[in-house]
Amino acid sequence: MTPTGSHSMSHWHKISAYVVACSLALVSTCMAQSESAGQQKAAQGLNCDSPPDFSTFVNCRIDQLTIKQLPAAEVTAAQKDPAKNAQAPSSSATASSLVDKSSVSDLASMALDAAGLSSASSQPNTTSTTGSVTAYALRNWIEKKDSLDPSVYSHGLNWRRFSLLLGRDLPDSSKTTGSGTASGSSSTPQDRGALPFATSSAGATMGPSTSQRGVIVGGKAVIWARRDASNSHNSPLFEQIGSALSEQVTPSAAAILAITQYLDEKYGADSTTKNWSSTWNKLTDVDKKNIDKFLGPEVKASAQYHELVSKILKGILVAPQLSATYQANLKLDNGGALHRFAFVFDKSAFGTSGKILTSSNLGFDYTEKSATSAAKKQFRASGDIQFPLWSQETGKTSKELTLDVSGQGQWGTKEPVYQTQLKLSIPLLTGVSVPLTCGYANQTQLLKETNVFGHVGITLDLAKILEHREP
Amino acid sequence: MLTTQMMVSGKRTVTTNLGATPLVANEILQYRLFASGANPIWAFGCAHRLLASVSNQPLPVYTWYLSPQSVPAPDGPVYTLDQPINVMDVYVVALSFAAVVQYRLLVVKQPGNVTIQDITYNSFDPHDAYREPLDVTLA
Repeated sequence: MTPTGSHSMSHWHKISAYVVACSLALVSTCMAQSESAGQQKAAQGLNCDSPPDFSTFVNCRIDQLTIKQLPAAEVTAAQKDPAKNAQAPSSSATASSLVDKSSVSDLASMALDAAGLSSASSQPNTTSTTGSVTAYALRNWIEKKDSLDPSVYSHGLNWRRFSLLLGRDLPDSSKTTGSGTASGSSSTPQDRGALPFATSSAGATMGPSTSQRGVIVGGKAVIWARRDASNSHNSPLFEQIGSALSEQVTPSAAAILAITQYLDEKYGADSTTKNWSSTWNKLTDVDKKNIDKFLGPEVKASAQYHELVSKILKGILVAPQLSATYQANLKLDNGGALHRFAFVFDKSAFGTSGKILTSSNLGFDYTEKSATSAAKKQFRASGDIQFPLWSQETGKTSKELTLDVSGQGQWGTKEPVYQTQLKLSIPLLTGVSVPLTCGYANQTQLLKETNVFGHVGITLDLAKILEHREP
Repeated sequence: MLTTQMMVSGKRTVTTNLGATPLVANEILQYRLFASGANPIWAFGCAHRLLASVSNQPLPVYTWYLSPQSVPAPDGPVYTLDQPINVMDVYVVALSFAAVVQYRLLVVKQPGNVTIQDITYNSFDPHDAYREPLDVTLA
């Protein structure tokens, strides 16, 4: 039986939970923005105390002096492309995002979207596990090639355009209603009628379909891939970076030679090599000023290099990207498979705390006839804005905290369904993050769980994880 | 093993770094640079001239040599020292992280197979660049 008796009270509890969850997300946003500003300040005050060797000292000092010459906005920029989707596809029952991104990880990714947070619902929570792998990764695996070998990577753009998707939706079989399990294949339509939303027609990603076991299959083709480092349009830009780097070599070698000769003369032979610790402790303010003077031409070349790299990377990272996707969520118990076709368009812009990514999906959903509802076609449009809140780049680790604000509309033969969602992606380790979502939709009977919903999950990006291995 | 900070975000892990080496007439320095990522961008030169500059030539490993005299080498170009006996010069390998996340520089003196430098660099900040110096003196 649908628990209508306590519905009103339960509804207000859910609204309260939604408000609390969203408030927490906003507080996190403010804290993270404050931390991001702090990190930027720290970057500008790069600490060169106690450099363990002369090479570190010289590079650190060059960077310190270079950063002083750069506008603050140039200091922070992310290499990562947030359009590379490591999240569950939007067609899975517990997807942490309403909107798909235009590409996937360079190699493979996995997403586990655990049971919904709306435990007040009597509908079984569904856990979705999905993985995606690029044709590039598959080919290299078969041919036993290193996917991060530059010579392999540079010839793999067309293979990276295509990716395959495979996953499962598994309802929590332990959560039963009074008259039967939600996922049991033996349950009858009447049994399913005991679930709160089972009598409604199946929504595209919602309604009774979420309590079914499902197999998710699909693919994605990146039609317009201008952000890929190996795209031929970007080659002249990397050539420019190479030229700017070359212009640093002679000034830096000349400066290092002059500093070495100066210190050897003052503190004896091997002052910058075997005896560096002793030399460092003896350095006076006059020595440091003289060293800065020697580094002058190199610092100028270094600042020019950084400005050029910044300009070029911003151009590459905000380039628009377009892909076409197909996802099918094949329901194993009662039928009603969902087929989703969509074009995905991403465009980025740089804000004060990093890159802001906007993604939009435009497409068509077809839901097959199921035991409880007729076949249906729906037009679907969704949009997402991803804000970077905080990032940490420490050489061997790369973490980023992001907030997604998204919305979705579905139009078919019945009333339109609108959903909004906030998603906070919390980084755990490099390439591993936990997405927390909360959202609201206008039609209770068509939702995955309730009109207020929340999810927690985990995503793994194999490319990012492998990039940190030892050579 | 020594780990040090570079630029804003990168890490440099030193396994061996003598910082300086003499080179006699029959010796040669073999440089090998290993890269992981999309498009390695690097350059090599001394205080007086640029010797090599690479971009858009993606390879997993680059090999070149530094020698007092011109000698043939099977797997890479040979650059000759340009300073007279007992005059030190600084040779720098400059690395860009614009499209690469990891490099490893391995400098070995032959004959004798003596490791002069074995250093690994990691960075996720594409703005990062690192200049690794080595003092070389013709003895």
